[in-house]
Amino acid sequence: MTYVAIYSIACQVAFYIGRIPRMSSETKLSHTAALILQSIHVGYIYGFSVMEVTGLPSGTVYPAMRRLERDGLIQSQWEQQAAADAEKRPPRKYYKLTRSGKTTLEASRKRYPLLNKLAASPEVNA
Amino acid sequence: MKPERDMRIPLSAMALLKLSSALVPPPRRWEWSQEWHSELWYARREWAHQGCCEGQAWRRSVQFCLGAFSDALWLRRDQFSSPVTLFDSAQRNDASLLCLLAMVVFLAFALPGSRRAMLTSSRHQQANLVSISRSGVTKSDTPTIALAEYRRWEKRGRNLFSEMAFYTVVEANEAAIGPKSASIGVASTEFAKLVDLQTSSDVMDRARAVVEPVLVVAESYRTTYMPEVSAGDEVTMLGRRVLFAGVIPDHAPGLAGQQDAWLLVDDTQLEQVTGSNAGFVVAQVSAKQRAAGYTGRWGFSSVENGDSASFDCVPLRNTAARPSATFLFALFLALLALPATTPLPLGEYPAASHPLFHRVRWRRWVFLGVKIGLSVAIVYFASMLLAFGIINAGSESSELIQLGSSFVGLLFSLRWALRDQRLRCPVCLRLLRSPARVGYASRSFLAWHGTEFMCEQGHGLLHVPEVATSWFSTQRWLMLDASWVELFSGG
Repeated sequence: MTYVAIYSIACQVAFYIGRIPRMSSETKLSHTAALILQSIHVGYIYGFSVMEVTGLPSGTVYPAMRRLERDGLIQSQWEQQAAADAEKRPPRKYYKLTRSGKTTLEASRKRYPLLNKLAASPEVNA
Repeated sequence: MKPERDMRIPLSAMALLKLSSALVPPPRRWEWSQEWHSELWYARREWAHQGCCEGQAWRRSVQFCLGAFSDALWLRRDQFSSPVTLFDSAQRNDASLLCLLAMVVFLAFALPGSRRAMLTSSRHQQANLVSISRSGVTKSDTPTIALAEYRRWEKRGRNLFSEMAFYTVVEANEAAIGPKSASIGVASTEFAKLVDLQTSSDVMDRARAVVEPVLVVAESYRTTYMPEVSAGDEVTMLGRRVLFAGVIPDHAPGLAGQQDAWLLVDDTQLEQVTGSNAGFVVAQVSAKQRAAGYTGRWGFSSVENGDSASFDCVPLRNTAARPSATFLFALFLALLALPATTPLPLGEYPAASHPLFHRVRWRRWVFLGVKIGLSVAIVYFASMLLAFGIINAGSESSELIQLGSSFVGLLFSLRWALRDQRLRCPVCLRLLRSPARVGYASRSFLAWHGTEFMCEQGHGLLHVPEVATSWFSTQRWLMLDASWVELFSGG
């Protein structure tokens, strides 16, 4: 009974807020967001490589990746400074899908079947 | 880490990144900038591998960096739209009030009327000036002091007054100064300095330099009747040639009557100009007298040839317009009227013993104090601006306008401050959102009905009853504990 009461209050609160706390597996992504998610999934893990493979401009790709990261579908990480210094290049920020992102991507693939055509990238192990 | 020489970022691209980084919220700016610089470096390396010439690489770099603006703008918008990273609205509130205050203060000091009104009263208070008149004379604009009497005080009254000046007012009907009879104040040049007639230093230098009388004219009178006369011209005044030296503000606060012009003569020529006319005396109370407590209204007696006469000394600040006193009176009236416009209590906070609430309790009161203080200051300067800067309809009318505008402004600003405070989360001080009507008006016996507000940070809920009942008389805050935070974390 207590659980039912808490659940109903939580639903009421969620309704008042107008949003639910986490993205559900049924979250519908735009085609662009799904394309970016798929790109990251197949190994284009840097912003510029996503641009290259999708043909989207930087002004679209980076904000979309911020949004995906905010929604918990991808997460970013900087590579080790020492590794970059050894190769005399700046460290790079890479992205990878979260569990929630993978689930959402599965749902998006059903919606956009052509996403599967995107080939895997050699950067996947970079 | 030093990038390879051919991978150096062009200055134009650097400038674009620097410019766009200004849009990024400060906490994320450094990392954002690092990412864009790094990505640009790798992009340029990729273009070099593709065999792009320098010109192409430069064009692509600029195109790439233009996208940084979209990214930065998105981050900025996200900061303000996301409840998790919402800018502290209490700070924004105070910042807005501060900006408004700065704007009003600037305007109040920019317009000459309001600036004069604000500065004059304080100057008179500092100068300890008094107006001397014969005891028993109720009308302040009746001249009661003979020039001979003033001369005697000049010699013997130095222990009471450090400086004194005599002035009188005569009516002049001279074609040179306009079509109507003008009220001319006649005084010595020291008088202008003592009461600070707001003459420019240029005017005063001119007055000191020449022995002949100097005429200064009130601003509105000059505009209406003497537009063609310029400084340095000679005009006829009271049967003698005088030098027109400049313009002064319309109102000389605290002095008897309203003069259209002032004829400033050398002290030795006062008898010739004023004749046997009685006049007024303005004096500065000596330091010794002030130390003895003669700071308010006081009197003294003078015995001459066996005749005794009493005189009253009234501080000029009592007769001059006192915007501060008017404002304080308006504040008093507004405080009296405030409970009629909004309830004074801020509501019930039953969870006040909660540790989190206890820690931040003082912030609520500081915020309320700052908000009220800034609002009151804004109303003060705005009322001064309106009454003396924009309308400036004479001292009495201006005071009334200031009183009215201050009262209305204070009433509404205090009402707003209280209502705003009631609709804020007591923990994070953000405005509560998502109002929802709860209950039915027809079921007020065993249930309540009203509006429920929510803190978007998940600190609690505010229940505001539609109708006050004996068991729910005022708004009530429901504190939510930490287990609710996840629900509000916005995913």
